[in-house]
Amino acid sequence: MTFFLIVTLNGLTLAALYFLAASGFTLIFGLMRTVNMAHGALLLLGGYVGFEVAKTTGFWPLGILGGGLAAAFAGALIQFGILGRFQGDELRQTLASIALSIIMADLMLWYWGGITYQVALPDALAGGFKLPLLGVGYASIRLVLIIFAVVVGITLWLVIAKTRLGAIIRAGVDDREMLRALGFDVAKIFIIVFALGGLLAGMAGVVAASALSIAPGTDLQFLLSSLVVVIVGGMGSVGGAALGALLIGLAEQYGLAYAPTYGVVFTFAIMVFVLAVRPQGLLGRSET
Amino acid sequence: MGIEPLLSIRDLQVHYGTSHVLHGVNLDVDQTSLGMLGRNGMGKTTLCAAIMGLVPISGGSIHFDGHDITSSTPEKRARLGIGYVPQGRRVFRSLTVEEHLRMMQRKGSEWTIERVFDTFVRLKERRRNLGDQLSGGEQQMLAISRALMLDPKLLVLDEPTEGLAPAIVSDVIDLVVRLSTEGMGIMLVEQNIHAAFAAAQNVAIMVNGLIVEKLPTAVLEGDIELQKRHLGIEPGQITAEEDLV
Repeated sequence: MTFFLIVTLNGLTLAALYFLAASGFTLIFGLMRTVNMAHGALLLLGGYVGFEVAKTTGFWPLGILGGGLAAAFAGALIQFGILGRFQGDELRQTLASIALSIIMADLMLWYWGGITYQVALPDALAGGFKLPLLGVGYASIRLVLIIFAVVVGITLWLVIAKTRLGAIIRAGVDDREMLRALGFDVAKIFIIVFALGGLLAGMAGVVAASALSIAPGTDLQFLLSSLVVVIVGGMGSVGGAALGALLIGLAEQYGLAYAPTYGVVFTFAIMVFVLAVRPQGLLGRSET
Repeated sequence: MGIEPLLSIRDLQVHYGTSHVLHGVNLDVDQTSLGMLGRNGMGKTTLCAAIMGLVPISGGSIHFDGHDITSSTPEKRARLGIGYVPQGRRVFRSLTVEEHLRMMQRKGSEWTIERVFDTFVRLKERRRNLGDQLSGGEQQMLAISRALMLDPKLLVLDEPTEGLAPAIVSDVIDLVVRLSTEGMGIMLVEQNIHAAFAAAQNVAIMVNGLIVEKLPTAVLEGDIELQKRHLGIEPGQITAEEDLV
């Protein structure tokens, strides 16, 4: 029983990370139909910058903020300078973003090298604490990560559901062309959303570098997980990203714990099942 | 004439792939109401989309209110004062009525949310409902309202009475007439010939991607022969728009 609960907690931790990474990805896809294959690179960039900021200032939250902002800026720059030029040409955008992800990965390898980085945690989070009832220790940072993901999720939901910007984003998801015909500069909104997606990816990168660690390859790992999460949850739906992350995170950990040989199969079995039964994703809406 | 028309279209060409949809449309729209008639598939909706910049054009020019908008973006055209009420209404399904209007709100605009709610009481009652929870008539009111909140000089309506109950059709017509008397330019694309006759001072007829006639409504109303030739209908035969589809 204790083992099961610990595995569940690990699954939730992973799900929280997956959600942070996938929420920005799904937001960008939902509005722009852009499959941003550089999303993982933005996450890794955020992680590295967050590491540097946290090391220099010695203040962990500042690292999260710095990593998030750096990736937000890079995301806005990518949309403004490159992907925005191919708006409406999704295949070209996707290919360009693959090229970008390779270039960014190589530049980061050049600057930060091939070693593994872990962000130093503040003392309050560095240790573990005893879980009530179970009587076993658990890393504090992992619980902080879960709380962080929940807070980010709720904030994102509030922004999208309650603000004018959120209404414009939703309108753009529904009918981008009509939004333009009503006088909205969609190109500008796209840049804002790309920055928002980058912010989420960057923060996810710093959090990943704190709870786990980051190294070359982390970018592709999270890109893949984001793709799977978003396919399962439904493209363009933040709630779907949360649900997809939960399913995939838990499935991965249960698989690892109870059927290590076939662990990775569970993830893709879920994906195949969803694609067969509900191709638009669990909370996605089919194209009309 | 002398003064420049509000909207001036010259030799407008549009291709969809290999099919040639608009074959050199020439059309002026001024601060009155113009009904655009024609059978299905003659290019009326394409013309509206081309005016808004939503389809690529392959030749010709469009001028609006002293600006050459031939290669302007849709958002620029909207901000210059072209309000677009598209076919099928295209309200945003995941926005509430109120969000639709709040999104369009600008300082100093003649059309405020309050004015919209005064004009369309039904929308006020349904302000918390999402776009896809509205009836066709309510969606139409909303589609017109959000276009009006741009304070347009020209309102382009593409089949606003399509699929609406007769009572709602006459509401839409009354509104169009009122806007026209307030000095707004109106271009009203219609399948429903009676709606166009009731709402528009002049009518243009589109056949195979060309404007073949432009004449005062009263003249076309009296010319059964012309109606038959271009619109292929016996007057009085149509009771509902289904007959035309």
